[in-house]
Amino acid sequence: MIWEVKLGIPIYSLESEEKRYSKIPQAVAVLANFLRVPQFFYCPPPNFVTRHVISGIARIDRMFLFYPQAPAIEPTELCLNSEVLNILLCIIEEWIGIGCEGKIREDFELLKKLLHEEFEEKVKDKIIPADQ
Amino acid sequence: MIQSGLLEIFEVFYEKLEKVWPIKSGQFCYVVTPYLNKIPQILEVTNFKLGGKFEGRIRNVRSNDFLPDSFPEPLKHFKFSLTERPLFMKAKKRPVIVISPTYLGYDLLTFLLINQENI
Repeated sequence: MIWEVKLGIPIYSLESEEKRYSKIPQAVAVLANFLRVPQFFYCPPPNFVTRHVISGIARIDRMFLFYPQAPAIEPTELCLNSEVLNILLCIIEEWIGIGCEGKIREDFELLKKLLHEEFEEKVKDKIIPADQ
Repeated sequence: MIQSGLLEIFEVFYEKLEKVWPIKSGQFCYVVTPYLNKIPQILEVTNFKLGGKFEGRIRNVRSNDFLPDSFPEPLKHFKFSLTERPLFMKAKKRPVIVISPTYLGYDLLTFLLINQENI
């Protein structure tokens, strides 16, 4: 019975030129894209034509349980790729503190290391001023 | 947004589903999402006894709110027990990534139950 509920990770939109100071800054999205923020996961706009253009930051620290039944829920045709979903699951596990093992976990650790190195070399200076 | 990081590694970030039901893990849905309030709020109803009219306002919960005497007259016809009160919570239909808890097992539920704030 308890498995009939689902876990939801809400997505908060990023600030734009029109809407500033009331949404998540773009710099946070860059940090999340390089897995620098453990509780955030960046969701880019879909690269195909769809009725539901969803993008923003998925906040793992705001996750909640809900019962998947209409009209409280309105499903869309958009779904994460299985590889990306595995990354998201690893991020959730890490944030919760579940000590899991396996090939996926090892790949995730390697990916995180590579992204952190890339961030330090190429991106850090562009988004964080040198005096901070 | 810089096209690097995860976006560079995963060229195909999303897939398009042909059927939206049943809900599968990783699917995006619009779900009624409550706002988080540190202090719960209730809907206080005052009866002015003017032709049955009453006025409602939202306020923070007080320590004596769940005592039987605190239950307001206009809400008596709702079937609440003596220690129950209607909570007020704002909610918004927000895009949500759906995950089946079976992926994460009992560890996840333990975490959610310990950290009540996150539910």
